[in-house]
Amino acid sequence: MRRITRLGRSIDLLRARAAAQTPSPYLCSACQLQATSFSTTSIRAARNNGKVPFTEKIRQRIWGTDKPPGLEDPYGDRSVFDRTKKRAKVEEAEEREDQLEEAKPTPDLSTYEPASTWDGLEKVGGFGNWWKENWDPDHQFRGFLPAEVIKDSDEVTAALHRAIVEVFALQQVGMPPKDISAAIPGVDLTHEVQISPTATGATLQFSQKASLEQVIQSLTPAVDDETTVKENPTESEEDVAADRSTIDPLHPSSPEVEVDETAEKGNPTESEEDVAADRSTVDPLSGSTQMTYGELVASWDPSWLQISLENPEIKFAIVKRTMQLTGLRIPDAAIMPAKTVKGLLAHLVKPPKPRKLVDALQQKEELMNIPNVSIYAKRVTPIDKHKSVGRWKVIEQRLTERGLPVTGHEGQSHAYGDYR
Amino acid sequence: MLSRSLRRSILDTRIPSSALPPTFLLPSRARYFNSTPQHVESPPDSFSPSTPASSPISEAPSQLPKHTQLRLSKIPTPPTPPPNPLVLSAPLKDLLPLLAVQPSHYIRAHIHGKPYLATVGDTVRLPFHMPGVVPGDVLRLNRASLLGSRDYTLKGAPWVDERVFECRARVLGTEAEPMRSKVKTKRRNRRVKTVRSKHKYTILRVSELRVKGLEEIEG
Amino acid sequence: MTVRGLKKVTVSQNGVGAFILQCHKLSFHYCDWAGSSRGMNSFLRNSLQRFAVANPQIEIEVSPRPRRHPVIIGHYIGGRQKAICVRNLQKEQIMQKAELLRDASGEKLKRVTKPVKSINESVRGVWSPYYGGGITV
Repeated sequence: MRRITRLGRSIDLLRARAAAQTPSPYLCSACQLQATSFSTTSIRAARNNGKVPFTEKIRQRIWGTDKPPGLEDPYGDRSVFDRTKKRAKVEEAEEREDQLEEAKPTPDLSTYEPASTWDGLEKVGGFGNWWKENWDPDHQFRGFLPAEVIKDSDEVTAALHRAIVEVFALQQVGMPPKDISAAIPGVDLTHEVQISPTATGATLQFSQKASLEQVIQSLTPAVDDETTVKENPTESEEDVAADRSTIDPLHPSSPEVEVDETAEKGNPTESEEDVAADRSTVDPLSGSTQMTYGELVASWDPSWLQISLENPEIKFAIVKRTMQLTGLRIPDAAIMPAKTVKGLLAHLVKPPKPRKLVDALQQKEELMNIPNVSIYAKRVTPIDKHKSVGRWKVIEQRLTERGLPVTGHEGQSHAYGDYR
Repeated sequence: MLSRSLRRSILDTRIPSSALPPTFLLPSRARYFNSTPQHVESPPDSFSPSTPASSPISEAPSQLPKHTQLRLSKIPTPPTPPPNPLVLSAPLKDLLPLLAVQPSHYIRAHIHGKPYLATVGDTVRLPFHMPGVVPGDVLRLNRASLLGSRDYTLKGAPWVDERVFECRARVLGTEAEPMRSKVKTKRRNRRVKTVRSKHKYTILRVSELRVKGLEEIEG
Repeated sequence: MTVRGLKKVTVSQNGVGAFILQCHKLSFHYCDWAGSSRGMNSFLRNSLQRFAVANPQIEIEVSPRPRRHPVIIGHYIGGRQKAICVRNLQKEQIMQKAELLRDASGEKLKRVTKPVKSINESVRGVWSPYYGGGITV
């Protein structure tokens, strides 16, 4: 095999260069080779210490002179970052000057006594009021969904019905349906509202108890619309309006509706408590008919289930409101395929999965109707078999005649006792 | 070839209605449940009597692509009517009525080439599991080498013509033997291998055996 | 006067006239909780209906048997029973077992060496040396 010559190796090339760079006449060549520190950094990098940047060098090359025309640094000095940096420097300097100026009148330190305890000293650092503001029990976080989830299927159906009524009421008035959740859900006014599907959406038939205005009013957050309230004040509306007048100073004529929703929730003011009290008084009035949710759902014309949800805006609003009312989370996978209200409802009131096989089998009517199949919910015991042929009565009678236990072994202990 | 023709002929649906049990006992529905393709039967009545003797079914597969042909060949067809009426020799014409009127008959029927000497009411345990049959099915045995009574015997050369007699068997069920286990050892080796085998066998019962009369054969 | 027994003319044999399936009842036992019943539960859910419709002459009884392995028990005419434990089997395998019980006669499995079994008298009678003209000595 041929040997590779020493200089042929790449590392030797580097060495040779390094040696060439720092020639020392007082060392023999072998020592030079050994002693020079081995470094892989390029020679060019070493030369950069001469404060001539690389770009500058290139420019010098291109122009052929030591002082090329143009910017000193073609890639700097123009960018936003550089300018802000400069400005920051200037500002910093100014601040320092200000501080110096302030610090000039030195306080009189003759009466100064170092504190022996920390009482009365100013606290520096720490979290400040952060914990108070964020974790105080007064400032509980309240999510969009209510904490209590409605489980009852009729109640959920009623909530969906309410959501639809409210959304279409908003649409009827001409307000954007996405504002549906602006107000905290209050009393359900929509119990007696009938919905019937049309080609474009649905028409609402309001009853005496709940007019369109009332529904809309219950939907609008308690800030604006003073004018509309004043137009046709009914008794109940006046009550609400009275409430509002106390609320209004808190939110002085802010046009934005949804801004302070959470903040309002955060610290229940007096006025809100009033509203709550108001509601509680309203509740027994509305509940005077005392209908169960099942009857309520049955009282509606079933055609409302056929309402189309093709319009994504309407669909979004309905889903949003339903989630707010029920606390149920509706996944995308359920929202997407729902074309009508019926499809959405089918997801909301899904019957629970049967826990036992018997329940599952008894739901299958075809199987239960086959004459040669009999399904038992419990184990078929020998007694059951005797009973099925009518023999058990006789057995029981004979056993009791002889004083023997009919089932189990409780009599046997006495029998054994005799032998003792 | 033999087995295919046998199977085709064995599944005869022309059962006299008197021999049939009441419909609720018929396992005909159970047959559809067994999803074997072999039992797709078409009733023989569906063929119009005017069709030529060489039935269209035997011709049809030749026009089909090969894989379909293979699949079709598995489907049993009703036995094709023989091309021309059976011509009996003079001594047979004399003796066949005598055989027919004898009180009891026996038959040496062949299934898959194996002979089974049986009379009416005998159970035949086939040495195999017949696929696609369920208890209650009726098979027609058409391959016989011997047909006889106390005084007369009709010998086939090698088979008795299937138009001379009618023999039917009913599938009773499937049975098995107790599991056989065979211990296998090699010399100078501790290893012991136990081979187990348990096979299923189809049980038939010969339900009908009849020698046809002369008019029935010729007319 | 001597007492004479009546001679039995015919013996009824299943399948010669009518045919009655020997298996008259199948009882399926399962457990809701145990994992060995998973296949059985799936069978009862999905395949039992087909099986029951296809075999109307078999009475089918489904009952739980908690904390036990799943079992199919076949009840046969004549009072015999056959039980097959179907623990950890898939529903297709359970279907095969159910069909096995349906097709069985209920008798104990026996080794059979002769294929044809008959209770009839010999058709050709007992052989005699005088047949065929006899032998002249």
